Amino acid sequence: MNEKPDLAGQCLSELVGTFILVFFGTGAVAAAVLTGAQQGLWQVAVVWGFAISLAIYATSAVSGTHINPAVTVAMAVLRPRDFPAKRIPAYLLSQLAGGVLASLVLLALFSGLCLRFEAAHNIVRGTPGSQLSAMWFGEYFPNPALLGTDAVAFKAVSPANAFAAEAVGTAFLLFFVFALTDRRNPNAPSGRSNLYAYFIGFTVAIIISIVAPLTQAGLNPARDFAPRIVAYFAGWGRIAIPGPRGSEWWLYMVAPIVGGLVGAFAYDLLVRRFLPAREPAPEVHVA
Amino acid sequence: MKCFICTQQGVSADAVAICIVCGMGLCMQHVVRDDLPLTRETAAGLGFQVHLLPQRLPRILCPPCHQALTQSA
Repeated sequence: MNEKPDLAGQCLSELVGTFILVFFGTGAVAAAVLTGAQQGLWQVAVVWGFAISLAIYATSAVSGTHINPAVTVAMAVLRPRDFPAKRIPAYLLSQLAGGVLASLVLLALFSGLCLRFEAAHNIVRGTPGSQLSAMWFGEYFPNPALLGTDAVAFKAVSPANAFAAEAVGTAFLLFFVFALTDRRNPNAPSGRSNLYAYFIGFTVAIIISIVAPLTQAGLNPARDFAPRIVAYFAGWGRIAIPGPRGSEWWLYMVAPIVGGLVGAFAYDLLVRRFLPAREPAPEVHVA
Repeated sequence: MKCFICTQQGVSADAVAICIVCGMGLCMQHVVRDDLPLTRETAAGLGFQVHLLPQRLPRILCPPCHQALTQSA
């Protein structure tokens, strides 16, 4: 038996990793929405990407860095030897806690700017349309900043459309995560070269640049639901949970998990089974 | 082969081992045996988790090499 880091250490690592992800990721959205500091979607997407790369570098040695329930579930289902299912609840709670803590810090930092933004745009927090000032916590569809919050905007992206967008985006994410970290894939920049973390960050950035106009690109139930809880108690109420259309809170949880499973399975089915059957001998390092 | 350190001290003693770093012949009196921890990385999410392996790696060293390898920064 290998001596793995204990579960408490892994949970703390997940909490820290998710904190990094949510702080920098939703922080970039806050800066973009409330001040216009980021010019366009790609800049926000790149911050997300770098945040994920840095979170991986900082925490993967201990927990493997899931920081996303969709990754946790996909690992437990398709890589049970590396991640046993009994650890799912502990990982999910840690991710949620990290996301809530980061959102509380961001709320403290940006609350003044948010009040100014709401006053400037005649937004009454908690009423329909206030998702425009809540969108730096949880996500909404379509993207309120790009397409608005009225009935015409709602028609443009249906709940089914949003579900599909979140599922497809997360499917691509897990497909590439499994490819980039597969030791049987000779072209993966995996292992001690450590470049895989940047490529996973790039993966998230390019997915965001496609999916975010539709759904703000959650791709991660912890990243959506943890900030949504904070928004609920910060005055947005039912605009945060269940959301202005009633389906936001569960859609951003279920769709990424379904899509993540599909993407990870697709990698195994379409690519991995055609790779050489045996993994190369695992590298052992002197500590 | 004779022990290098004993020979330097004017004593003749048969070597029973060789330092893995510098190749010095060593008698039982001067040999240093050290066990090093080993780790292995496994893909366990977005990144690689590091596991400490249960067995350690035994190494035979001479005293100067052992001192050099275990000195603190």
